[in-house]
Amino acid sequence: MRRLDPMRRYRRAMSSTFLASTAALALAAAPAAAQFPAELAGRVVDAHTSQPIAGATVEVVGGPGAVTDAAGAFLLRAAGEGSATLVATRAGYASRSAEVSLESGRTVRVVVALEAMPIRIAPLQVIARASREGGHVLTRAMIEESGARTLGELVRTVPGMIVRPVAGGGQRASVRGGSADAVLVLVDGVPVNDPLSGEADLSLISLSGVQTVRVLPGARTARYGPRAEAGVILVESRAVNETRPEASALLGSFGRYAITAEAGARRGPVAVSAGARIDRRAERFDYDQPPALGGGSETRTNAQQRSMGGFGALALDVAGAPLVLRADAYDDERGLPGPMHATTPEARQHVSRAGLTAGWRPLLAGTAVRVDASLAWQRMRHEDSVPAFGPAYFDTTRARETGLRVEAERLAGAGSRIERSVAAGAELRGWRLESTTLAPGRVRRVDPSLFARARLELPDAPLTPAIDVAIRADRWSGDWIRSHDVTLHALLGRVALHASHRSGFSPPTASDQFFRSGFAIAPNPDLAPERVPSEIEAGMSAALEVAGLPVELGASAFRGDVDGMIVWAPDFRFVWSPRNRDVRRSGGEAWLRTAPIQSVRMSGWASAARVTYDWPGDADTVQVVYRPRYSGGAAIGWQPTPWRAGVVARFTGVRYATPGHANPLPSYWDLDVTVSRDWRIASTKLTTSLAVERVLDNTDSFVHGYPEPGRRLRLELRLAPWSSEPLEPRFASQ
Amino acid sequence: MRENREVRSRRVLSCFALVVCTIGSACDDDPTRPSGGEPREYAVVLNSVSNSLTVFPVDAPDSTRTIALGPTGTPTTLDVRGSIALVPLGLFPALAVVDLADGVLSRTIPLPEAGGATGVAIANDSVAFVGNPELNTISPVRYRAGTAAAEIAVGRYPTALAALGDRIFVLEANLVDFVPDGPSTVSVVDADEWVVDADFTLSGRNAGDALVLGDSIVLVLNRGDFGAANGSLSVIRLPIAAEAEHNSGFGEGTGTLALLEDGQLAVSSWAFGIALFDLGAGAFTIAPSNGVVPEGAVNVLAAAADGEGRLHVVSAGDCAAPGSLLRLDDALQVAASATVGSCPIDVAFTTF
Repeated sequence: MRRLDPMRRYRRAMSSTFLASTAALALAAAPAAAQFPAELAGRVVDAHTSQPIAGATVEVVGGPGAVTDAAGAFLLRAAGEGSATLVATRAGYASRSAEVSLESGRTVRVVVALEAMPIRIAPLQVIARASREGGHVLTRAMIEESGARTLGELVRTVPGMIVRPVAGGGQRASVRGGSADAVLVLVDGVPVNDPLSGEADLSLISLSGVQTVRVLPGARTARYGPRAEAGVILVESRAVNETRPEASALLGSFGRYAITAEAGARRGPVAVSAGARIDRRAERFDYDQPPALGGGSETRTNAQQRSMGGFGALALDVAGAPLVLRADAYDDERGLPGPMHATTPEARQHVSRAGLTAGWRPLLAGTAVRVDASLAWQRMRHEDSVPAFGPAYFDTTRARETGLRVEAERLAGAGSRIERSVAAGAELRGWRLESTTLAPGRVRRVDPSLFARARLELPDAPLTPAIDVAIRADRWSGDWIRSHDVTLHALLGRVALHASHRSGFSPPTASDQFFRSGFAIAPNPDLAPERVPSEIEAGMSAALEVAGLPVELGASAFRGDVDGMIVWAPDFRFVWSPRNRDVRRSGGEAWLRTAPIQSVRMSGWASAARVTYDWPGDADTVQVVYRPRYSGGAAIGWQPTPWRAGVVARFTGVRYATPGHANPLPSYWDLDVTVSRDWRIASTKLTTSLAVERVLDNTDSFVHGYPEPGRRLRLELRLAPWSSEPLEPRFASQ
Repeated sequence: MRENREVRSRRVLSCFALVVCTIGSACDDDPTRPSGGEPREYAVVLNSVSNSLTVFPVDAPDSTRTIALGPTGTPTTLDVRGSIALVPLGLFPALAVVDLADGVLSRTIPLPEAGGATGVAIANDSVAFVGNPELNTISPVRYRAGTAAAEIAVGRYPTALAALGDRIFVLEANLVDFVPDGPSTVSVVDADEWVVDADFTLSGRNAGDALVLGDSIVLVLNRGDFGAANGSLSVIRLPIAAEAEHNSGFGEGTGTLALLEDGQLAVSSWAFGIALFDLGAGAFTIAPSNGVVPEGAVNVLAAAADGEGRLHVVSAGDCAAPGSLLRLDDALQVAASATVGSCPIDVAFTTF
C-alpha cells in the first residue's frame, strides 16, 4: 500500500479525532471503452441521507486529486496500473480511504459514503476553502451557491484578494498589494490577461461551465509563468463528460437580466459539451454629487452592458490517450461613463474574443505527458467622440495569441520511504498586436520558457516532511529571467505547516511601453519587468476542536519586496508615464471557520498588505495608492434543507488616492444577503434564490469619483438534475 | 454620577490648562500654528501629486504641516491672501479654499464641469477669479461664501491670472489639443463689473505665469513651444492695455517669476535651473544658457521671493519622492531647505 503524503495523513488524523465511525464504501468496476490511462469516476455522498457532498477532496495517494462538484461527482485519470489507495475527505465528515484496482482502458466507478461527524463544518457558500498549495479553492458548489456570474464577483471573498471595480463594470483583481497586471489568470491553463494592458478583466470571465477556481497568492512564476508575480487565479472548466444539462435565468435591479444554459453528452469514448450565456444590464441610477461638485442628484448614464458568449468542447481518444478540444468565444460591449467629475456620455468599449485550446494526456513509457496548445484572437474597440478632455479617439486593437506547452512527469519511489516525482517541460508563447493606440502600430513577441519541478516526501519520518521545488527560465527582451519556488511542508500534530521561498516577475505591458504619446502622457519603452526577487512565506492550517466546537483556521505571512513595480506617475513636467518604482511589501492573511450549532456556519477572514514606496526617511511609510492596507470580512450561513440563507460582510480598508498620508479614502463595509431554496420537480432541481447586495444601500466606491448604485436585488432561477438521486444504478450503501 | 464626575474633572482640568496657558503664554508651541501674537510669514508649497499644501514658517523649515486638498485633482497653481489659499484643482472642476491658520481645507467650490480649472487670482477679501481653460472662460468665485458666479468668456485657453487694482489680467495660452496654436493673448477683466474691458495679443507663445510689480506693471512669462526653447517675457504697463516690451531668450521649460530684493527677476526652469534678468537693463545677468542649478536641486519648477526678497526655489526631484523648497542666498547657494510633498510645483508667501 502506498503511503499517505503529509496532508492526507493530516486529514486522516483530523477525521479520526472527530469521529471514529463506520462508513460505507462501495466499489464497482465496470468495463469501459478502451482508453488509457485508467479512470476513476464516482460520487461522494452522505452515508445517511444519500445527499451528494460537494467540495469533497478525492485523491489517489501519490496521484491526481479532484474536488467533487455540486452533484458530489468527481473524475480522476490515474497514471499507472495496479492497486492504489483512494482517499475522500470533507470537513465535517470522517474521511475514508479504500483500495482500488487501476487498469488501463477501464473506468472504475466508485461511490464513497462519508459518515457525518457530530458537528459539521461546511464551508459557507462563497467562502473559499484553504488548499494544500497555500491558496484557496472555490468549488462548483460554492460557485453556484454564491450566485456569482463572473470571476470577479466570486473571488472577492478570498482573503487578500482585492477586486477593484472600474468604469463600465470592469473588475480588476490584485492580491497582496500587487498590481492588477501582476495577477495571472489562467483558464484551463491558458493566460487570459489582456495582451495590451496585461490585466485580466474578471467581469469578462463567465463562471458558466467552470468547475473550480483556485486562488494562489504569492510569487508563482516558477510554476505558472510570467505575470504570476503577486498571485495566480486558476480557472478549471468542467470535464467534458461531466457537464450536465443546466439552465439559469436571472432578473436584477438596474435592468439586468441574464440567461445561461449548458449541456453535455457522452457516447462511447466521445463526449461533447456546450454552453451559452447572455447578460445585459442598463445600469442607470441616480447618485448624489459630492458637495465639492455642487451637490444635488445626477443620473448615471452610459453604463449599460451587453455581453454574450459560449463554449463548445469535445473529448475523444487519440492514440490511446484522451484529447480535449475546446472553443470559447464572447462579445462584450459596454459604455464607459467616466468619473463623476468628468463624465463621458459617448465613450464605449467593445471586446470580442475567440479561442481554441487542445489538451492531450498520453502516458508514454510510464511517464505522464501533457501537451497543451492554444490559439486566441481578440479585438478591442475604444471610442469617444466627445471626451471630457482632449481630442476624440477611435482606437482599435487586434491581438492574436498562441501558446504551446509540453510537460512530462514521472513518479518514483511510491510506497517506499522516499517518494518523489520529477517533471520538466517547455513552453512557447507568442502574441501579435496591431493597434492604433500603439506608436509602432504593430508589436509582436515570442517568448520561450523552460521549467522543471520536483517533489520529495518522507512519509515515515518525524513531522512527515516534504519539499516541492520548481524552477523556470523565461526569455524576455534578450535575457533569461529565472524564477524559483521552494516550499517545505511539515505536520506538527494537527497543524500543517509550510514555508516557501519564491521569486517571480511581471513583464511590462505593450500598452505601457508603446502607446502613442499624448498631451501630458508618454509611454516608457525602457520599462523593466517588475521583479519579486525574494519572497518568503510561512503559513499554517489546522482543524481543531475548541470548547467542543469544530474550528478550521489558517494563517500565512509573507515578505516580498517588489523591484521596479510599474506605477503611473507624473514627472517634473507633469507628464504622466509608467515608471519602475521599488516597493516594500509584506503582510499576511488569516481565516477561521466554525459551526456553533448544526446547520449554522460562521467564518471570518482578514488580510493586511503593507505596500510602501521605497522612499528615504519616514516617507517610506507611504502606502502605494489605491492599495488598502487592510481588508477582510465575515459570513454566517444557515442551511436547514432545503432552505439556505447567508449573510456576507466585506471590509475594504483605507486607501490613499495620492502618494502620502493626505487624502485618505475612508474604509467601508459591504453587506450581502442571499436566501435560496431547492424545489424538486420530478428528477429536476429548481433552485430559486434572492440576493440583495449592499443591503444597507452603501454607495462607497473603491476608487474616488466613480459612483456606485448602492443596493441591488437579484432573483435567480436555476434548473439542474436532482442531485440527491444517485445517477449510478450500482450505488450501494453498506 | 460617574458621568458627572468625569465632566467635572474635565472642566477642572480645562480651567487649569487655561490658567497655565494664559500665564505662560505657551499653550500652543506648534510653530506651524499662529500663536495669536505677531503675524508670521509662511511659505505655502503646492504639491501637485500629493494633492496637498505644505505650510511652514519661512524661518522654521523643519516645522512643516501638510494640508490635504482632496482625493482627486491635478493642481498646478495657487494664490494666497492672508490666511487663505486658493487652489484650482485642474481636471477636478473645483476650487479648494484652504484656511492656512487652522490648517484645514475649508471648502471646495464647484466650477464648470470639464473646465480644467487652472489659474487663480484673488481680487479682494471675498472674490477671486479662476480660469476654465477647456471652456475658454473664467469663473468669478466668492470664496468666503463658497459660490461661483456665471462664467465670463475670455480668449483661448486661459491658464494664469493676475490681479492688479480693480483689473484681472487673464493670460491665455492659445492652445489647441494642448499645443500652442499662436501667440498668447490677454483679456483684461473689470474685477468689479465682471466684464472684459479689453484684450490684446502678446508676442510670446504659451503664456504660463504672471507677476505683478507695484501698481502698474504685469510681467508675463511665455513658456513657448515644448522643445523649442523659445520662452520669452512680456511686460505690460498701465495705463496702456497692451504689451509694452517683449524679451526673448528665456529658453526651455520655464516655470515662474520672482522679483528679488536687488530688483533682479529670477526665472525658474526645469531645463536650466535659475536665470536672472535685469529688468532695468533688459538683459540677463545669468542667462538660461548659464543657468544655475543650486546644489541639491533637481528640476526647479518654481521660484518665489519672500517678504524680505529672498529667493526660494521648488525642487521637484523626479516626483518619485518628496520634493523640497530651497532658500537661496545671494550666491544662489542653498541656505535652508524644507521637505515638502510629492512633485511640488508652485510656492507662495503670505503673512498672517
